[in-house]
Amino acid sequence: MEKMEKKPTEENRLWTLFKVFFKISAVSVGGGLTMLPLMDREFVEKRNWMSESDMVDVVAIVQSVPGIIAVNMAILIGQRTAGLAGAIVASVGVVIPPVVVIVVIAALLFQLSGNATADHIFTGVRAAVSALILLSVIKMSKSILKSPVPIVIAILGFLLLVVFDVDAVGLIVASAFAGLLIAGISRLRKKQLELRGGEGEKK
Amino acid sequence: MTLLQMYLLFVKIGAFTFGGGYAMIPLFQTELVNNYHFMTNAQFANFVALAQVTPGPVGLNAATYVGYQCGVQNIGGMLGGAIGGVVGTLGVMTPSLIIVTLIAYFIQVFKDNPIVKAVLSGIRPATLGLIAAAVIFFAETSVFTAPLRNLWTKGASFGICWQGVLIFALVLFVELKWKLNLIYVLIASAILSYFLFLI
Repeated sequence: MEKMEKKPTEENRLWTLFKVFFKISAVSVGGGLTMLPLMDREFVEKRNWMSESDMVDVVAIVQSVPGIIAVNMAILIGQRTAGLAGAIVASVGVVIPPVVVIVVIAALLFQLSGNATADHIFTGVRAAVSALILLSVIKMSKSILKSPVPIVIAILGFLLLVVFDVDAVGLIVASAFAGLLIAGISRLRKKQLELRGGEGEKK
Repeated sequence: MTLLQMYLLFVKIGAFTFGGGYAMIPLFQTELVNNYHFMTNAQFANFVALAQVTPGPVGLNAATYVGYQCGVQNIGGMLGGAIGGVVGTLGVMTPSLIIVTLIAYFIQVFKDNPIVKAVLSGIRPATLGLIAAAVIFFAETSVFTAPLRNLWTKGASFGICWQGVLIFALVLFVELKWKLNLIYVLIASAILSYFLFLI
């Protein structure tokens, strides 16, 4: 009896995961963390599949792993609520709406390319995109650039790419090592200070 | 670029993007425009604009657009484009599927790990710098008439596109003041640009 009851709810869970992520992906424009309140409502408030602190974990991890935030959120939430199958089902749900919509739009768009009017329109759109990305840089810089070291790293990255045309992936790898090095140095310094402090007390 | 090359390139980009959508843009840009010469800077900027107004995550959308073009070139037709779009999407997702699934099982080890924190303390500001660079690259196809490097290259011309400057400034002002929906802003910019170029 128990088994028979359990099986359908498990299947429902996968189907619900797929449906919810499909829906969220289809309606949210811009992606990333804009999806967070929607997911919170669906999985924490409505269904109680996760706790609020689980959600906080998801947000913290999603921002520190590579890849697309929406896909990573789907994988993490799917895995938390229904295991590996859940992770796969949720990420497929996130991916389907944009792929379908874009294939259709891209097909229409290709017929437009080379058209002078379309080019004029897109020049304005590109200018708007530059401004929008600049705005997100300003917003992000408030939380990232809190001390001199990150400011220097950000400026270096910017200049290396714009002026010297370095490889972007190489730059990210180098910045990871820089982060490790800086953390290591500051840890050594702390230890030295502690040692000195200890000697001072002895005297 | 073959479909396999694109898939592998997108796996690489997916593995080195930290911070989502916008962080992916400079990587796509340097690889597709500078390294592979697969598209021009202006073409890529158009894709990004579309990626922002179509539903779904920006990074995923951009990958699908580029994949579509790659599919059309290699296989041809809308079906080829659709296949390319799926291949591109799978490419940027592959590293996530592997890495995030693993992390989900070892969540406690990963959380608050000092090494992870140190690595990210370097990557985060660098990514911010890269995204700021993407602003320049897009401005080069709209606000300016030529790449910025022409300013310090002898004999190269450089100019400003007043329509682009005007829209850039307007969007910046409007968004700082009222925080309107991105879609409306982009559609309004498209309409405004059409009329400005008639002048």
